[in-house]
Amino acid sequence: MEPRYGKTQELLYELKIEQVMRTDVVTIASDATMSELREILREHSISGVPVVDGDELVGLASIEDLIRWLSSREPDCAVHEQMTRDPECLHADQPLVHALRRFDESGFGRFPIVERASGRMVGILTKGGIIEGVLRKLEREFKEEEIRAYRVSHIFEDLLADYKEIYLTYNVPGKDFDRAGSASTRMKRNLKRLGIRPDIIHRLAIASYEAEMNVVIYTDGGTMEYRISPHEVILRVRDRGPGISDVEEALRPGWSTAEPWVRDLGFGAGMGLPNIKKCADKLEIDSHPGRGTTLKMRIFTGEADEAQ
Amino acid sequence: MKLSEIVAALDLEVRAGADHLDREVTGAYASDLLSDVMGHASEGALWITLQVHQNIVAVAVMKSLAGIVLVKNREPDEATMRKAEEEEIPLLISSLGAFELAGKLFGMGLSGS
Amino acid sequence: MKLKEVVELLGADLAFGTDSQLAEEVQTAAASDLMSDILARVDVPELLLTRLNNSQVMRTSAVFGIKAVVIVRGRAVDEKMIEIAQEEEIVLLTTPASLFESCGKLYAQGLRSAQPSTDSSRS
Repeated sequence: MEPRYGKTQELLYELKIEQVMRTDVVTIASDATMSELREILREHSISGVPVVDGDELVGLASIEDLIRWLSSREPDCAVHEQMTRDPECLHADQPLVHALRRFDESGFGRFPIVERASGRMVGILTKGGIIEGVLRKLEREFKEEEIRAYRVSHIFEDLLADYKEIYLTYNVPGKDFDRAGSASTRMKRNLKRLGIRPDIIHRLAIASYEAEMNVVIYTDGGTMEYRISPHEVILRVRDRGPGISDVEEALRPGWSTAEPWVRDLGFGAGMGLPNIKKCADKLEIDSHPGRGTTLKMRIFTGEADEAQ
Repeated sequence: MKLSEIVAALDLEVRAGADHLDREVTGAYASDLLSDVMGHASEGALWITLQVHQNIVAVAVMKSLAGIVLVKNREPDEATMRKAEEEEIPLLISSLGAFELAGKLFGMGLSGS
Repeated sequence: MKLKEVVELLGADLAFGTDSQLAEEVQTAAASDLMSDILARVDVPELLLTRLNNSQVMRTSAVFGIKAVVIVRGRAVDEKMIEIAQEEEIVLLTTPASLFESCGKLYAQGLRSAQPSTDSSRS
């Protein structure tokens, strides 16, 4: 891993001004008074604002201008008499490092940011904004690094065996609607930590959740077992429910035995099983009326060509 | 605004009630919950939904709605179409999802209450 | 638009959402009262508008990767919904406006439905 300061410098080149600038810019009209400027600065706790004439940027008024005016003890006057005219602007698509250099060279506290093509003001940049932006980005990268360390391929590489898999089981209580779906959401978090590809997690989570809801709605409970091996995830959902009398029919979109209260929860539209089938690479349904149902789905994770 | 104007402006397909498009639309209601529509939709409103079950026609009749638009190209059941024709409820289809359809109707000046 | 602008536009109450979440941009939205419909989509909206107010709305949003949920018509949210919102880092809002009106206002501000992603590239 590279040392952090190197990383920070890299970020200053990588990040563009538009990624860290403030876009909700507070402005003041050029014919507003200095006392109005004082109110605006105080109200928003900021140290300077762009001065506009209609849509056009004509200057910058800062707390320094305000202090200068206050100490001169002159009567209240229009902002455009005290502001800094024709302020230097930076372009939204410039790298952050350029902005930082201009802050250093000029000693200014803020720069209006304009869109290169139109010249329109789109934001404002302060040193504080730069720090915040870099920290945010660092935090995100740190999280990603943490995830990489967890990657399922790493875990499997570190363990010595001829066959390896991670086996996780969840109990799904029937008719418990407050907890319904918690197995799938917990599992989704695990899969993220294991570094499985996001599009595969998405499919797996949906298939898992639909199956879990079926167990909660139609049965007295069941279990969900995930087997995660280097190339695939196998999910087995077993329940002790009434079983499905005609599996073929149940896979037809719109087929449903749901009662109205289930529909009022937003489920039971006959879209569950077809959706599971769509999300899984392979689906087997083993159901015996009166004895329960077992769904077995396989999803290939493509970890093999991901592992480097 | 007449229902026929909406059909033309948003390129809706007509599945039933083609003879009743001269109705005045007084507002719109978006919901997929029949009980909600029963409770809150007002008379003359155009109903946006993805429900295709024939019960939607009964709800539209009881609440005197101007018509029903099914979103995302949902095809109504045979029974739903038959019933809509009988009950003189225009049944329309849009390729848009509920969000965009509501957005466009709101933009045309229909109100939500 | 930023989520905090959504709050203002809809005159919404914030049931859960951190400052940094509210500073996030959203560009896509969907309106539905059928969770099965959401789950069967190929596109993932950032914002979900619904009249349903139960914990399954939050679980569905967590499973599907939705950033923010707006409960319309002033329906109350319960402790459980807020708890899941917090756990799963989902912004939760309630607005007195109807589903139709909420969609209309957001659409007017440039929000659109999510496009099916054809990008199956590895990330």
